[in-house]
Order: sequence, then C-alpha cells, then structure tokens
Amino acid sequence: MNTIKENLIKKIQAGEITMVPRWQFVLRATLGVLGVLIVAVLAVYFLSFVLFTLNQSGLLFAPMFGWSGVMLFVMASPWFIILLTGLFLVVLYILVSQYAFSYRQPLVYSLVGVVLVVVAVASLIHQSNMHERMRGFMERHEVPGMSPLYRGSLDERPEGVVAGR
Amino acid sequence: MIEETDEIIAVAIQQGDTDAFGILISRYEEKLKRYARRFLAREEDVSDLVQDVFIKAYEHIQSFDTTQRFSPWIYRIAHNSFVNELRRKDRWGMVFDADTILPALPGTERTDALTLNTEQQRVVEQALTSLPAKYREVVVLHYFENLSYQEISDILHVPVNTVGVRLSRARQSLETLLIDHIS
Repeated sequence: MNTIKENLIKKIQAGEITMVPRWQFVLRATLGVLGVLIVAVLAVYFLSFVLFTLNQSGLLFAPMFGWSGVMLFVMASPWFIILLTGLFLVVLYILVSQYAFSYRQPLVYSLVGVVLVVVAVASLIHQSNMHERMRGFMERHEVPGMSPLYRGSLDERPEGVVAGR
Repeated sequence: MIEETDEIIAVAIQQGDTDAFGILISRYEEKLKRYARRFLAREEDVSDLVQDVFIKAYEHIQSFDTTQRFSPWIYRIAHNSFVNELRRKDRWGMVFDADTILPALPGTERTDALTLNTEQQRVVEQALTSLPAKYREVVVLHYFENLSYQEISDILHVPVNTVGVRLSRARQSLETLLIDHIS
C-alpha cells in the first residue's frame, strides 16, 4: 500500500489537513489587483504632477538653453517627488511581475512596458489640465497633504526664470 | 473506460471528494519523487518533501484554476518547496538571475534528437548532478518530465526565453562533462 497516499487520506479524513477556503484566495487575488491599481494610479499621479510642476516653473524647457539650463533643471527639479515616482514604478513592476503576462517576458520588456504605460497615461493627464483644475480647487479649499503640494508647485519657479514673452 | 483528466479530478477535490485526491497522489507521487531526486541531487528525505508538496497542494486546491493544466500547478508547488529546501541547506545561492533580464534567441537543437538508452541515461544522470541547480532543474522538467518551455516558465516564474537559454547552457555543460567522461 502506498504510504504517502494512505497517510494523507487518513489525515484529511481525520480533519488534520484542511483546505484553505476559496474566498481567501479570491480576497488575496482581489487585493493583489487592487494593489496594482493603487500603485499605478499613484505612479501616474506623481509623474503627471512632476510634469505639471516642471511646466509651471518653466524648468521643462530649461535644458534647451544650454549647459546653464541643464544645471538649473538639475538644481531646481522636484527631486523628492521624482524619487517617489521612481519608487512607485519599482513597486508597480514588482507587483506586476507576479502575473504570467509579465514573468513570461524578459525582465527588460516588462520594465519598459510598465514605464511606457505610466509615462503615456501621465502625459495624457498632463495634457488634460487636470492638475491646473486641481490647483484651482486647492486654492479655494484646504485639503490636508494636497494643498501644500500645489502651493509648493507655484513657488517652484527658480529665480531668473520667466515664462512667456 | 476513459481516464478522467487531472483537472476534472481537481474539480471533484474542490467539491469535497477526498478519495479523488488519492488518485492525484497515485498519478504524481513517482513523478514528484523523480523530480526531487534529480533536482536536489540526493535520495534522502525525498518522501517527506513530496508528502509536504501534496499537503500544500490539498490545502491550496481551491486556488487552482480548473481551466488551466494541473501539472504545472503542482510542479510549481514542488519547485517552491525544493528551492526552500536547497536554500535551507545553503545550496541554492541564486539571489538575482541575469538570464531573465534580456531577450535571447532560442536554441536550434531539436528536443527529439535526444533519445538515450539506459546506459547513456545513467551516465547523463550522473553528469546532471555536477550541473548548478538552476540548469539541472530545467533539464529535469523538460527532458525527464516532458514539460514544454511555457509550462516550465509558469513553474519557475522566469521568461520563456530564459528556459531556452538555461537548457542550451545545460546541454553545453553536459556535453563537456560527457566528453570528459568518455575520454
């Protein structure tokens, strides 16, 4: 008689080994997808906010004015938010790499795919003037954590940089 | 009588048929023991490890998607258990795998060209133990357990191309080892 088979069936019938209920796996999978969505939204939001801030301060075009423009860009960019965006991108990649459509591809493809999707959506949001409207809202209402962020973006313009004619 | 597929049996287990689990144990016990012996390159503790694999499989059977194949699912559980065992014995040592980063061209060799007689198989198995675990595992899964590149990719959670690269390197290493053995 097969000992593993006999042993396990006995233990299962005695209730020593039990199945983890399906709802736990459904919950885990749902939380996984939710986690991916939340991190993706945060990555997109912060990247589009970086584009908005750079655009508002005129820094987005600074590198076009030679070496001093590049230096100005490096010195005055919102590095904390850029690093935060990078962190969300890395977390997003790690979460996505658990799914077959990602791990079946070479790491570089999945990574580039994640970055491209986030950059594309962030650019669309930037084009939609969403942050402009949000800044208007934040000026009228005090939203903890958010209003200082948008006020900060207005004060980002470094000395000597003038937007417009 | 038509034999029921593993997936149909898995549905029965999910619905509470304990005896159906016995059928899957009968079907996979020898396969998993063979995989364990070759992957871990040793004989001892194999029964205990395989028993643990079946316990995990039963506990997690409700997570099995019955529209997918059962075999890669149970081999994935076995892979995780065996890797943990190698880590515990400090014989895994793979923190980051460079093979998974870039795409690579698949090998040109045909799988069916590798048909071995018993003596050759014994020599190959001996040579297998000299390979690093990550190469040994793909050889075992592909040539001994007859799993496809995609199934191996799903078991190891590495890109399909990486499976091809590892197999190609394993073949080269085996070739060198076998030439040394013959000479």
